[in-house]
Amino acid sequence: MKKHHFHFSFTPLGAAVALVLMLGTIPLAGSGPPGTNIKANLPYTPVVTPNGSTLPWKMVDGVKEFHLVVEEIQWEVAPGMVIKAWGYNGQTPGPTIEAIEGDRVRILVTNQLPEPTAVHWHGVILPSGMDGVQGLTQRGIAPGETFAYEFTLRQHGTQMYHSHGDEMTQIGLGTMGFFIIHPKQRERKIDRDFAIFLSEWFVAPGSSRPNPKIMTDFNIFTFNSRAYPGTAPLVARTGERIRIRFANVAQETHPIHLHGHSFKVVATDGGDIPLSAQWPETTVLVAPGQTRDIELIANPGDWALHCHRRHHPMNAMGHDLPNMLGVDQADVQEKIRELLPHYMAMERTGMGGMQAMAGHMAGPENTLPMMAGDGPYGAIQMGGMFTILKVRDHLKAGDGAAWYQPPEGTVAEKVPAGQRLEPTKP
Amino acid sequence: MKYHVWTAVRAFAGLFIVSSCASVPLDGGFRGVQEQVETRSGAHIHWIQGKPEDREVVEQIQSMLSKKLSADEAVQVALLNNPSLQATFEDLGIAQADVVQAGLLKNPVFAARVRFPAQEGSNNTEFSVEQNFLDIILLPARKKLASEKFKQAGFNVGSAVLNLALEVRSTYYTLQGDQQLLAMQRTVVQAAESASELAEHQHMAGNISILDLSNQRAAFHEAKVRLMQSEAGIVAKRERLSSLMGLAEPDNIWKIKAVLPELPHQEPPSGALEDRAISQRLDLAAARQQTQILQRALSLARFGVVSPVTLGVNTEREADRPNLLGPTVEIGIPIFDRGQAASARIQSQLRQSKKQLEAMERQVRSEVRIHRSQLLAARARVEYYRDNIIPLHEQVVHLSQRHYNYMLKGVYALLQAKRNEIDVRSQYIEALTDYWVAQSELERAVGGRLSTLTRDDGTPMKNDESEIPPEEHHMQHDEPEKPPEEHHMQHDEPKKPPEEHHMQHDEPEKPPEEHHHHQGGKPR
Repeated sequence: MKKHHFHFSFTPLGAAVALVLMLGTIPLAGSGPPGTNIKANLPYTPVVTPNGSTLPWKMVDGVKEFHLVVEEIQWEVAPGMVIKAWGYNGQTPGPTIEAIEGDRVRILVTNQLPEPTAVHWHGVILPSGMDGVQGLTQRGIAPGETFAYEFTLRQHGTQMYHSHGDEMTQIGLGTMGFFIIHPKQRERKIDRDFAIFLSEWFVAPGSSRPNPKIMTDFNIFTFNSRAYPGTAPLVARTGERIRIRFANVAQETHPIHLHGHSFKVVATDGGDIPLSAQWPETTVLVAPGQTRDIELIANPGDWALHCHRRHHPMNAMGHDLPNMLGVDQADVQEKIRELLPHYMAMERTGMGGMQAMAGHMAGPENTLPMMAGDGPYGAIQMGGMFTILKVRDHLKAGDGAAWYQPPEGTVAEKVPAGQRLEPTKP
Repeated sequence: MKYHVWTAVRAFAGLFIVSSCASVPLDGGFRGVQEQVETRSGAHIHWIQGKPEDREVVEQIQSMLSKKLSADEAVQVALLNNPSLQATFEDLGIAQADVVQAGLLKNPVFAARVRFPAQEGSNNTEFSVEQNFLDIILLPARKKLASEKFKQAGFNVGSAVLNLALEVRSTYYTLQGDQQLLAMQRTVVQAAESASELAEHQHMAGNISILDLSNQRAAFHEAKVRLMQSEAGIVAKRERLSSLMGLAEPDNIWKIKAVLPELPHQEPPSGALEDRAISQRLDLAAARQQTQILQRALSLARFGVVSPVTLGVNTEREADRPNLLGPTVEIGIPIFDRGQAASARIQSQLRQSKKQLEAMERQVRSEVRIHRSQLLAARARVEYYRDNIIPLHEQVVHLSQRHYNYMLKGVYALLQAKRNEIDVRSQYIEALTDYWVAQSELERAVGGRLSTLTRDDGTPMKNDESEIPPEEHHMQHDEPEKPPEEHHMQHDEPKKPPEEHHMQHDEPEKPPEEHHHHQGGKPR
């Protein structure tokens, strides 16, 4: 990690609040705050937010107290691209809030944005005055102010929190996060629980501030505000029950597809779907304002997990470019090179060569090449909403970095010369 | 009697000798003009008069024409070879003849008279030789007047030489600029042609409609027809320069240097230029000379008070009388015409010419200021293009290339960026042409080349030719012969942001996990 990528804007108040919270959590470390090493003490499997984190809390007079600071941050979308986003506690999506049905929670929200905000607890059943809609249920939190929201959790499920003041700007720049309420008792144990927020952005190539006014022509598509190859993989053991929670508060619907598995959609932000009503899927459509939880039993391998809209597992590219597919450019290339010595004709055979080309030809600054990633068999040619579910029979350190070793004879190969079969005639 | 006749003859002979000696050396005047021109323009003139030196001049012209002509050389060829200029040189011959003429006395008048007696008697014969002696008195003054006029003719010829030099110089720069513009226009055509060919291929591959293809084709053909127009324009400009250089068809194979010289580092200060113009302009010198001439004419006119005096020898013979020999005198009596009108006329002319000189001097100073301000304005434009606009367009092309590399821009947009860059380069060349034409105009206003001036620190002003052509600064990295190697592209990136480095250094086998950041949120 390059230090300049994570220059969080620590304001004096934010820093003081952070310090108080950190001090406050220490005495409770053994009993409360989640973390993988103490998950034995928790009545639930803690959620892993890839590329993100879980929000710490402390008990204050029997109330779980959380603190969110909303502010402008420098956010790395992937190595090579840092944007000026708005987020909670230095990240977008904000840290995942985890609590248990029946908990009374108090969430302090400090506004370090240049304009008022409010936080809406999306899908949480609560008193109207705690719903966090600026102007409708509360006064906006002015810059520098801290508001307290307090309510008792009467449900469980995958909920969200997001800004509800100047949403177009504030959500457009990244002010959202997961609010996950675990049931007191879960009937079927979950071995691994992942949470992935779906977002899209428009960042003009060569610039660094997302343009919140863009309505349709987005160019950056992210899982937890990271674009491939900046997305962390999901790592699991063969046979484990995996839950993946998807959330969306953006503009577009995202059909999320997982390779190598048949999964079931087990819950929505409205609650659990009864077993009898669940049906098998390989792609789950997540619309803006929705969450979807899927569950699957992990099969060994390296499995692509991505949005199935063709342009979404891809980074910035122009959409009104001339179509050069199948166009012979050899002779013209020489002529153009006399004018533009760095010119290279492309796309005659498709866009796949783009990845190799981008590897040695510079693009605009702070811009990701449209496709990237090198796998064990060559260029992966992906970007955006793409990550890998890595399932291994035996987990060991570094599995996230290693490639799956398939049993012999289970990889597609070139048919040796002389064994070419005649195509079957219809 | 014989004796007396001889005395008279001798006296006339003496007068003849005096008058015929009053001649000017034949090319003395031309040498003076040569010097004047050389100190002002640095160029040499030669008067082709069928002498052996003429050959050398022809060789000199041939040798200059065999290489690419500089502006100075084009001027030199014109000054040696322009037939109109050679015709102007004859003004010196004419003025010189006038000087000779002024030194000649009017021929004496011989009169003979024979009278026959009406009745008986012998014939009466009378002979006289008369010479207007006022002529003799006026001769020195007339000679002075003629030689002042001769001097003026020298200034006028010199001025004509310098005007030709200016015209050659500004025509040269205009042609040079146009040639550069033409080269750029060819590049524009090449860009349009490339776009059109790409469109042809796209259409053949089934990717674009005949409508889109027609648009690209039309753009190409329009660029081409504009090029044709410019090429025709160049032919006319070349012909103009050729004619100024006095070249006929068979010699018309000359070439000029390809690129306009860059700006000199500094311009001479304004005040010095005005004073210099006043002191060195030959048309001013000619005007000043006009007052001299009129002054002389005036003193000559004052002799008008002295009426014509005719002295002569008269001899009269009658048959039966001794011969009579005696002097004759005729004196006009200046009662009516004492020359006052003629004198007043010249006095008016003199005052007129002094006023005209004053007006001309003011005009000259004003011209110097005007052309100097035009020069400075052109310089400012050239510098603005050179230091701001062209680098920005280069940057635009460079960045468009990067956007193209990442499939953020298409090839047509990239070609358009290049065309826009060529457009501003053309505007730069237009400004630079304006600069050099303005400089030629300023030199005409100053009456000589600026290069002979010195800077404030005493070092000589640098002038054109010696400077590096602008291409070497601005166009170098666009040279087509430069191979588009890959490593090359990465090296020429200015101010690469740090992010890019580590993208390029990424190991292919590096797992995605390594990229992700465990977010150090503040409250942990």
